[in-house]
Amino acid sequence: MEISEHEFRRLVADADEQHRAGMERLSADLSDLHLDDDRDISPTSRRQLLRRVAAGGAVVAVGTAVVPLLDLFTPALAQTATQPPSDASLVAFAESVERALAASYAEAATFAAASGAAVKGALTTFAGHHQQHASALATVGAHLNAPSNHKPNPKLLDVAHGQFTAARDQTQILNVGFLLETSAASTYMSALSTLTDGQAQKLSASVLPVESQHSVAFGAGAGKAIADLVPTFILPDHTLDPTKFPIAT
Amino acid sequence: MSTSGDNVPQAPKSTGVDRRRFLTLGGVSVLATAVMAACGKKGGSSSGAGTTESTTSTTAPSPKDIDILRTAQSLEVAAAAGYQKIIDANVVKTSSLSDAVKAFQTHHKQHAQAFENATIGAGGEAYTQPNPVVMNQLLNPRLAAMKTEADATKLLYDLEHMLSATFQSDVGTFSNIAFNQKVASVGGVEAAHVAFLAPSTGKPTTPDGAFGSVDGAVPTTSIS
Repeated sequence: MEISEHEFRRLVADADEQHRAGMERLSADLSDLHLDDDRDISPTSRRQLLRRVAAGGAVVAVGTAVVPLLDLFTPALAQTATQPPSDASLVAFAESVERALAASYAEAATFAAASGAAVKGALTTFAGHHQQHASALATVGAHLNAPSNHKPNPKLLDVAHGQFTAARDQTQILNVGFLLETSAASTYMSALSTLTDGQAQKLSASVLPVESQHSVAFGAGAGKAIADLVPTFILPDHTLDPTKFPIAT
Repeated sequence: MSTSGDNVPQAPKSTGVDRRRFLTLGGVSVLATAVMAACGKKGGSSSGAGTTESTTSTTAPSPKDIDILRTAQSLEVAAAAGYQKIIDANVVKTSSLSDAVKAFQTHHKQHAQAFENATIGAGGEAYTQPNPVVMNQLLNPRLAAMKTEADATKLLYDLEHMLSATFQSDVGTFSNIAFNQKVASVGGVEAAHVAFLAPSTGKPTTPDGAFGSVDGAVPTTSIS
């Protein structure tokens, strides 16, 4: 069962909105609205989770090609390079990712498939979060002399645009958001394996849980079962690879 | 790259935790007198989540690293125990929420095992008992007063938020940066638990806004 628009809007409302006078108190909890009775509650990992999603047909359009989204991920940042990326390059990359997410969500919020107030509100709210993340990363990046041009990651923007454009309904929009947020959380996980700058570490640590919460909001809205919604550990398996998603030049 | 971090604007809500301040657990501010006393005993050696400690290295695990890992295990053991008491009380009737409670308890057991493995791997001794401060200040009083599903859900939300805050605050305090990823991999899941439970308590899925909060983080001195 898909979550209702009203319920989903409540999920993504800003904290201050909950105090707004006259806000309806919903009688049913979120879970009742979107979980099946026969779901698997066994522990899962992001790897298992995304494999399930991928098996369900999640694909991305890159240029004219449609490829599995998972092909764009990499096991871990440090494993694909001859040496671990520098703090500065990681922060610049993360900023580009955040700007791409902010821009793609802002665009997606204008699409017909996201015309419902709930989905539109989620995309808008989370776009705002990503914009704040990008700004914070830019501040830390300046301290590190990061090679950032403060632009969205072009490849990720292209991928997200293709996915959102291809989405035919609200659920597909939410599934794209779920995948993007899952990969964002995974990317910060990878970054924390190599970051040595304290500010960059702390900032990553404060952003990662919010990306994780975004994924839950999107996934819950799409009606995912608990085993697919929340993994046992956040793993770096689905990190966005800077070599596949280079920052704009 | 290592830098001092001086004069660098702080990431919103990402720094500045004062482990000597009031512990805020479950919306109830608790003066953790036991924690304060323990801080005095240990000279605050484990209170390292402040802004002044902005650089870590890739050195071998330190005693402080082990303290953090042991505390993390104690918190996960406490969480699993709290979930078990809620399961045993049978107050959560909504089937989907009940299943989530079981799933999340399994997560916490696995998190505890992961921290135990990390502690032992770092040369420390596992801490297999539930965190006494969390049990005494949060779980036991709230469990004793729990009567409804709403009570249970609110307690679990507060518990999960405390865990998420703690693991977030741990990042950047390790001598061995490999442990940053360890606590973040768990903290991100606790944050997901928060997001799942939040709507049932009338809160949004991102209750802290754009950045996770470290308010209410539990210090390592809680197991001293």
